[in-house]
Amino acid sequence: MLFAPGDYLFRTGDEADRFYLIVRGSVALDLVARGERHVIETLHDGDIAGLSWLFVPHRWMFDGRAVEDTQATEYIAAEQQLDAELLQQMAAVAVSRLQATRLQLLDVYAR
Amino acid sequence: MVPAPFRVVDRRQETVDTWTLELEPRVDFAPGQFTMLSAGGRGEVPISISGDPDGTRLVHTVRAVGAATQAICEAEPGRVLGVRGPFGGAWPTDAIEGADVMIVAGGVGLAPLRPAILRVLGRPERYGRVSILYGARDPGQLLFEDELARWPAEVTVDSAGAGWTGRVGVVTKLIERAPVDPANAVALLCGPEIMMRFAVPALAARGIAAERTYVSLERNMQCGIGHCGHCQLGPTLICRDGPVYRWSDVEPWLAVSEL
Repeated sequence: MLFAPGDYLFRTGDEADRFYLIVRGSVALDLVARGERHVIETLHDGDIAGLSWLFVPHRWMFDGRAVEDTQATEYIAAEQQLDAELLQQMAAVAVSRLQATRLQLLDVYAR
Repeated sequence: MVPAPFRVVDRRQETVDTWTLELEPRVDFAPGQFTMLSAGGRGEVPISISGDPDGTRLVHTVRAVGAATQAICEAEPGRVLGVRGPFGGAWPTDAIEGADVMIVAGGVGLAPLRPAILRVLGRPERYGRVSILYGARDPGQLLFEDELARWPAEVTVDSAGAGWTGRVGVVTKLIERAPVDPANAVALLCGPEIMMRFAVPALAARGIAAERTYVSLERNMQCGIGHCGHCQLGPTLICRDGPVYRWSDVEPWLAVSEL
């Protein structure tokens, strides 16, 4: 699938029934807070976009917005065989993002 | 031990609280060294040299975080600052000739690495691939933006608004895909210590061992010549033996609380 800059792969609150492998380009995970849009993280070539399909309530927690021309492969959750290998891959992605988030929370560049 | 007078000849703002000052006369220095910089009676602080080692001026990039650094940042062209040094050891830019070079910088940690970057990029025939990874708090805190656009650099910030089209995320994540050959690569790191501690396992996962990873450390340096002991870290005095170390030489001491 191809996404132009500003296109949304998914929107906060919608049913999360799929995920994407970004082949080329970049996707911002963002949300609106205090009236402004904040980018939480950007995802790039080779990254998985979308983990919410794995867990209840199966709703997207953030918007997924293409920042540039982006090519991504879409995987429908119901068509996936949830075997140990896939779960392990997704868990590795989740753990990596959790650790990165913890580092961001430390605000290491503050005075 | 007596500060020498250096005149500010140029001053430019990098971020809301960080300034680059160009001073004359020039001094011979090696990339990674620092000076003890002072502005009148407002105190003296260790500041890494951020200029070109082949340049004609002494260049410092200073973040205003206290009385002394605030006074230094406010020094207009024509003002005289006190300089002692340069002190300390250097990035191993000569010893790593022939290797790929991965440079990982966080926040104002890019400033002490800039002389090494200019040295390596200025002599491309002597090095392999060069990859500069730079992380900052937000887009407004990026140093040397014009140069970053020209360097082989990947830039990321910890947070940003929707207007930012670059990367958002931690700098350590960039390590896994940096275009170097790990078997022939050396890493130079400078930034918050916690950032460097997270970067080292990521480098190891790429196959760059702690013995080929160099860091620049910062402590409470006062005399600059290894006499006062304020900058002691375990068995080493950072002003005299550092500030650049092999990670494997200092790692045990960095995890010790209150050391």
